[in-house]
Amino acid sequence: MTHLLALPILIPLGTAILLLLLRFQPMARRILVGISSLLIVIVNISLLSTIRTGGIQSYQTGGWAAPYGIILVGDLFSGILLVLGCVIAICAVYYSFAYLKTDAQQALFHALFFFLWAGTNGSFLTGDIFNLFVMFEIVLMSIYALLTLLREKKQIEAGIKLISMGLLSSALFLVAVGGIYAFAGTLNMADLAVKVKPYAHHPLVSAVAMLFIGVFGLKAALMPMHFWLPDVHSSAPTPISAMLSGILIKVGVYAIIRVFCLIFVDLQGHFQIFILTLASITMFVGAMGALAQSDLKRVLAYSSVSQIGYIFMGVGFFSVAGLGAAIFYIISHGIIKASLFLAAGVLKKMRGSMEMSEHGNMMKISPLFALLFLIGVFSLGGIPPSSGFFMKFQLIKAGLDGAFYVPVAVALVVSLFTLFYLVQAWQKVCLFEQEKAPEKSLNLHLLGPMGVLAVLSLVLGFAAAPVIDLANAASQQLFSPELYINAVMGNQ
Amino acid sequence: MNSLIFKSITKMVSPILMIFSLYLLLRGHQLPGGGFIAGLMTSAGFVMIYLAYGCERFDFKHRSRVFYFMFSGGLALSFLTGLAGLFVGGYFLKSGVAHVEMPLIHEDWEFASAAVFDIGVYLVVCGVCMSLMTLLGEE
Repeated sequence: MTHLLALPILIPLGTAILLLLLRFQPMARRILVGISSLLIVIVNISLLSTIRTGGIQSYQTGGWAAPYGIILVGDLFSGILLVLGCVIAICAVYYSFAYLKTDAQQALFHALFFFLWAGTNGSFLTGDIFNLFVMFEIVLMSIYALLTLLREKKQIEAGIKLISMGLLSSALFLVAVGGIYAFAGTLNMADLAVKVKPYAHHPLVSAVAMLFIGVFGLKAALMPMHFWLPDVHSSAPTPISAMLSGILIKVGVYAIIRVFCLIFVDLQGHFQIFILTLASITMFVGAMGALAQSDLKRVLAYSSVSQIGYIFMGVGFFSVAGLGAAIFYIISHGIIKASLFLAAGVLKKMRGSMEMSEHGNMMKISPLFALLFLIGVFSLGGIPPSSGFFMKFQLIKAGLDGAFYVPVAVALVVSLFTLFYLVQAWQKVCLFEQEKAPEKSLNLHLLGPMGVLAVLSLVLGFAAAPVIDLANAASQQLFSPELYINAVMGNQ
Repeated sequence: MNSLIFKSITKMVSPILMIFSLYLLLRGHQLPGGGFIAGLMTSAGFVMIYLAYGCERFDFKHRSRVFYFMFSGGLALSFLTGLAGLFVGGYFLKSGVAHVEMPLIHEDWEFASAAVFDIGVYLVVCGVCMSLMTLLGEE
């Protein structure tokens, strides 16, 4: 089916609009949210399998051929991210029904959530650099509103930080797009790849490449630009925190990989040391930040910064194995981190606070919660047989193969810290005595999605081989940009 | 604000603004103009009325639900135009043009599906601007 590629954007967009119109019909909204979420999951999975068997797919919106129209392109990498996104999003949607108290909150939340979903799917699918900007804006707009939806004081503060980040990155993105358009006269990524290739070492091209690292690094919270992430990820409503850390920071990583594996292929060598250095510092700074926190969600948010460093390290190797490891890392980290954030939300609902000193005794109150939380902790810490072990193993193996000993050493040391701060958090929450009884009992509707993600990360560990193969195939495809270019330009 | 000069100027300017915005809206798919700029212009007219007269001429306060359905309906209209392109033209957002010989005046008029999309955008921009204005006015 030819329209399959447009559906991951169209279904959430249409659902969001219908949800706006059905604002005063709660029952109809619930049914619609359920049906469309399932539909998106089915569409995304069938899209991934189509790409797996049929190679890179492309779709011309409005019937305008490349390079003039906006082209949607689906390769294995975007397919994988689409499926990851919908797995996390469907858990977050289910969670949000129990998490948000009033119907008015739910009405706005779900409409905005589907806009966010459409934007995320769109940024993975678009083949046009300006359209990528538009999709980023859709994501940012929905996040601004979703972040401040519950109107807590902390959220307004984080909202200001997020808006300043968003405006700065949008402005820089426009400058970068303007620069590359002035140089090559096209915005289609495949066409750009062809036109920029002969002038790869022109100073303007390097400048634009650097700007893109800045813009996408800001979105992905690469080290000097990570200032906004801990506040935003820790104060957002929990289902949104899970989405933010699970899939949305990966949009920045995706964009850097896409740009450097397609348009600036010949500049990979120039930026390698730079990216690896930033990645190593990011890992270290994030882990140090996480050690110093007393708020569970802030620990997890700083841990996201640190883990983004790992992913960028895999990208920075610029080898098939390294990128494959980074892609597997993205999948695995997304699932684990979403599960951990949802666990933090369960706790917040019980005692109304995120300070770890006010929690405790969870082992006695709910051994099941303690176990599921422990799976997430061990998984992110890299204890076999969880998927977290394989993601770190693949990454470090790729690093040793490429003889990048310094980043690998940093990664190994930091992974010890990771295990330390996570196990410490688990101990404080589950083992330590707490005299105060929880205000509310454990909500099973909140525990469900968290458990599903935790078990999924365990399953991903036991069935790591096919997923690693898929990630490596995606990386192989990224390293042959001519496949992408042919898929876009070939069907004129 | 209670200024006679502003009130009298509003009486003259806001109708012109709104009529000119409709002109911009209807030519937007071929010539400079379009739904976004037209929507901003119309709401500029309403902003003037709101600032000059408050709610005495036009009840902004109790129309918030109208504004809400204006922008969500506009979004739906634009989206449906895109979908119509998918079902009729074969691609999402594919646009079509029809030439119709008008009776009585015997002129060839052009109707583009892009104009419907633009009307959707116009409604979204108007609705959002007016909702913002009434929300800020409430504070």
